[in-house]
Amino acid sequence: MDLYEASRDERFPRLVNLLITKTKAGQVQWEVARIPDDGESDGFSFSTRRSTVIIGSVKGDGQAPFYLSILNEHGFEVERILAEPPDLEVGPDETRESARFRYMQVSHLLNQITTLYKQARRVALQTDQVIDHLLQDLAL
Amino acid sequence: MPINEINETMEQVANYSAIPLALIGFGLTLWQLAKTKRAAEAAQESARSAQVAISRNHLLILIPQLQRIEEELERSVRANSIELTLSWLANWRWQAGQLRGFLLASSYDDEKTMRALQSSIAKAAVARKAIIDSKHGDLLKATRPARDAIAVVTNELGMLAAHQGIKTGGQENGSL
Repeated sequence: MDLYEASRDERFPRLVNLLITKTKAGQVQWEVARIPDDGESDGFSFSTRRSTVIIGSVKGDGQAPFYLSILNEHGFEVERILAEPPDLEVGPDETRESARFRYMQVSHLLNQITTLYKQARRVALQTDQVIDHLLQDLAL
Repeated sequence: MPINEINETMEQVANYSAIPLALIGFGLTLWQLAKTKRAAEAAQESARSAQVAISRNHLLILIPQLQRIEEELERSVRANSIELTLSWLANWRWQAGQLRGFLLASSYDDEKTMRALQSSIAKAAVARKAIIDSKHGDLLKATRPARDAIAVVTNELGMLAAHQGIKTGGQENGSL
């Protein structure tokens, strides 16, 4: 599923927003799910009792395109959203106005997914704790 | 006394004497119903207890199998065998799914264990995909998150098995 399609299903923006809010509140414990090899995807996961969300950058460089994957209780991927920067060009079935609307919708969801990726990575790699320890060690 | 009056009196006596008998009959029926309901409830409870006991026994059998998968997975990764690693990861997903069912049926489905289980299943799936997609075939790197998640589950299960072993032994044999 591309980002435009995802933005039109109100559940995906809601899921992303909820994950951002819960991660900020420290209620979502992200873990490393995939260690990137050269040029391959990274991935950070959060599991509930019956499902898992994985977010990662496609090339493992922390930059767009990102992917958001949803796995069911058997570990099968039931949905995958590819979050790429939107295209400004007016498509054959679009007016200038509808293309602008699409661009804004996709840009907004991409920004949200970028924010979530950064938060998930930070929690999974325990970045804040490492920086705190470093500061403590340097202060000695 | 005319015969009609005698008949009426007799009828009245018969009517009034029937009321206590009817009440006794009604009471007996209610008592029987209550008894039947209690018996049905007891049978239901007994069936439920048997189901939980069977699930717990299956759980105790499954735990060593999962620990063996963990060991075999480590071995296949160290031996750098892509085929065996893929196979043991798939095996984990299958058996962990079974475990989830037994944990739910035996009321050991605490949040921490169930989340760890789901995490291990998801990471095993991710590791399989990473190995299949990988251009480099670094099994150690590709499987590390899955192996860590599996270790968390087997540790939890080890504690559960110890707890259950003591409980079962204490109840049935008086020892471990």
